[in-house]
Amino acid sequence: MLCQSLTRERVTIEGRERFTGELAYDEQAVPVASALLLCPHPFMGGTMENNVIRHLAVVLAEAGLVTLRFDYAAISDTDLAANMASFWQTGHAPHDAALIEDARHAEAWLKQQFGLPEVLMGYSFGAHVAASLLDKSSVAVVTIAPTVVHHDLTPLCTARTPKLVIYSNNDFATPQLATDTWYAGLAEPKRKRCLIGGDHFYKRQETDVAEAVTSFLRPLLPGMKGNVA
Amino acid sequence: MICRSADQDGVKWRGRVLVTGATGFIGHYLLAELLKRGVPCAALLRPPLSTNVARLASLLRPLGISIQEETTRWRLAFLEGELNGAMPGESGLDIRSILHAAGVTTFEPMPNGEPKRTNVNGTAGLLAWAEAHEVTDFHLVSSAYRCGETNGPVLEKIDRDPPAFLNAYEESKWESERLACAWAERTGGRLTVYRPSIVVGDQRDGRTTSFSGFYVLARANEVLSRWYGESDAGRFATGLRISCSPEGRQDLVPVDYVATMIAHAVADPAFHGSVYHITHPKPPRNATIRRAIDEHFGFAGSSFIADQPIDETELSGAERVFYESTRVVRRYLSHHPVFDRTHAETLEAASGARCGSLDVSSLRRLIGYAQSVQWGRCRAPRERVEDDRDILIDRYFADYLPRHVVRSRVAQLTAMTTTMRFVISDVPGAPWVCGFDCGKLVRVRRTAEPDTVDFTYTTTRKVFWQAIAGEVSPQDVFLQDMATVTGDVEAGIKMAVILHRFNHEFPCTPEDLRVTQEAAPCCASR
Repeated sequence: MLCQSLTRERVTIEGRERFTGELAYDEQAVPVASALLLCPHPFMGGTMENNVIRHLAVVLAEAGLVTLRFDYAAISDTDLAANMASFWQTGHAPHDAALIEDARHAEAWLKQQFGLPEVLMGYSFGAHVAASLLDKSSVAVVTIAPTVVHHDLTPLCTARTPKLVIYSNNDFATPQLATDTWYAGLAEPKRKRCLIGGDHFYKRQETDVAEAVTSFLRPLLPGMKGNVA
Repeated sequence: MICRSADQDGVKWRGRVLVTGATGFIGHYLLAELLKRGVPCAALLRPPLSTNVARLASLLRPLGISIQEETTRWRLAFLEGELNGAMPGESGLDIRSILHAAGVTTFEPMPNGEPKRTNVNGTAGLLAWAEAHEVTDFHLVSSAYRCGETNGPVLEKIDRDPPAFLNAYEESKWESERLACAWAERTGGRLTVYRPSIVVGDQRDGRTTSFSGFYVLARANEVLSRWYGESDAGRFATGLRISCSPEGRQDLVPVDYVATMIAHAVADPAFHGSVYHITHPKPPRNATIRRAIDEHFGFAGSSFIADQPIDETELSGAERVFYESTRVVRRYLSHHPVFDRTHAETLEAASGARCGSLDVSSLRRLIGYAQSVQWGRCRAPRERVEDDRDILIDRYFADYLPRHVVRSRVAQLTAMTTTMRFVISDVPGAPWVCGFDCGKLVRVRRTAEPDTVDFTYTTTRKVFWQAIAGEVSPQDVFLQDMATVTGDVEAGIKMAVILHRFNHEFPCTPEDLRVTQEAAPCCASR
């Protein structure tokens, strides 16, 4: 079904630094929830224009959610090289904590603007950010290609929030075996979806990812468009 | 169909238009025009995608469109596929409309099956793809001359009965319309048909990438000019008899006008579902064209002989040269269908498109541009330029990179230890292998020998130049299929971001390498 009233709105959010994002929503519908979309690490080329993040933003907005995706605030030139160095050597950068702080500001802004039940969605490093933000106010959390080997995802393990894990069978950053093992240790309720033939980038699989996410959310958000009354 | 809404931030779009033939003459103008209007597009490009993306970038650049910017803003994406081969599967690109601008303009049947192969079979394949992917909005770029030998008024409607055709091209375009019409009836889809007449270069500067139609006629005069030689007084008394009426009109239409009209209609659903003759409101007369050609090439003495058959056994030498060179288009000189423009005029008024007069000076501008690019046959000089630049790529690895890595803050602090291979697929010769140890470039080799590397980047010459100039982001490079990374992909992606940073510290252009050629010793290997 075509959504002719989808609105995209560029927003500026004040945090430790000012950063920009984009809201998407159906202006003729009453939103059922908000979704905060957390993109991969900027040192891995992650921006809010990422193919998966962008596609999810639109599909979920069409389904009746308010979505917010954003670019983490830029790192200063002074700190950039040192952070890159650390990231190259360890897969972590001192600046990572600041990226999580950006996400907290985005989350707070979204809550303040709409006051809706919140879904967290993190892709790659964004899954680590989602885990860091997770609290009882979240109605669901979706992790796509969570970097189970590189980052601390502990808050997800014990949380009773409904969880969806999307991964693929050929991902350098989210090895299938390690992900299955990690998933086994997650508290219920949880679901997983392994996309066969994909890798870390989900190029040309954006629709499959979005379909998995909307299927997961429908029972949790009865007001979503397309749900049978 | 794609749809839009407006708010205080401007127009917002949903869905994408799949554009076929985007590297073609009309196609790349159409794509540029849609992008300028903010319409999200996906270009269907033949494999190898990276090569054709680079080709498209070079076509769009003179029209003020940066592929880098458009892809970054997500307004332009690419799909790899062939109308007569493997079409893409599920793209995830939210294709809602198709603008089918691909086509060949070969008039006579060719051994490879053209023009039917692309214009008919390709259209059939695309319509099947549309049906399978539930695309219900189809825009077909046809041709006004699918009317065949019809001389009377040609209406803006789909004809059920085929006319007599002048050539296989006309028949193929008529057949493609019939197929599209059948698709619309079968599926309930909405079909919009655009019928340009003889498309010529941009009315602003004469730019063209196609040299058929009018250009065949113009080029025949260049051949004739060479036949005479500059000092031959005979060129001022050619005695050339041209078998058509001076008052007959050739429906030439500038490509930018065609693109503006079609793009406006694609973007506005109010114009969907009709047929449009994208023709010139007042086409130039044969006499005007003759005068432009005479002035341009320094000829005089030709005459029109309307309605009088020419005995080809009695042609003069000049006439034989002229008629031989214009054989494929000659019949159009005396063929003057009148195209109804009722729908087109409504579209023209809404779009603001302006089709300027094709007078002597503007016709000469068209010819002048075509000559300046050797009627599209600049391949040899262009290749020489590319060869020159390929030598500079060697210089980049052997000289520029080592000299600047030692000064690079990001290299020093990152202290990376890794070995990588660069394969530039359209540059002849072996790939380059670079070894870093604690941030120092300790080895640069150009070798076809197996070498232990952590990862390999494969890209094209054009993307390479864009990358080292800092013009493309790593995310775009990999997600838009402009390059691939194999081996340790994670390290490759991390390194791509570091290299991008390095390229921002020390952006490099071919000019930089030419300037530094004599300033630093060249080190072939370290």
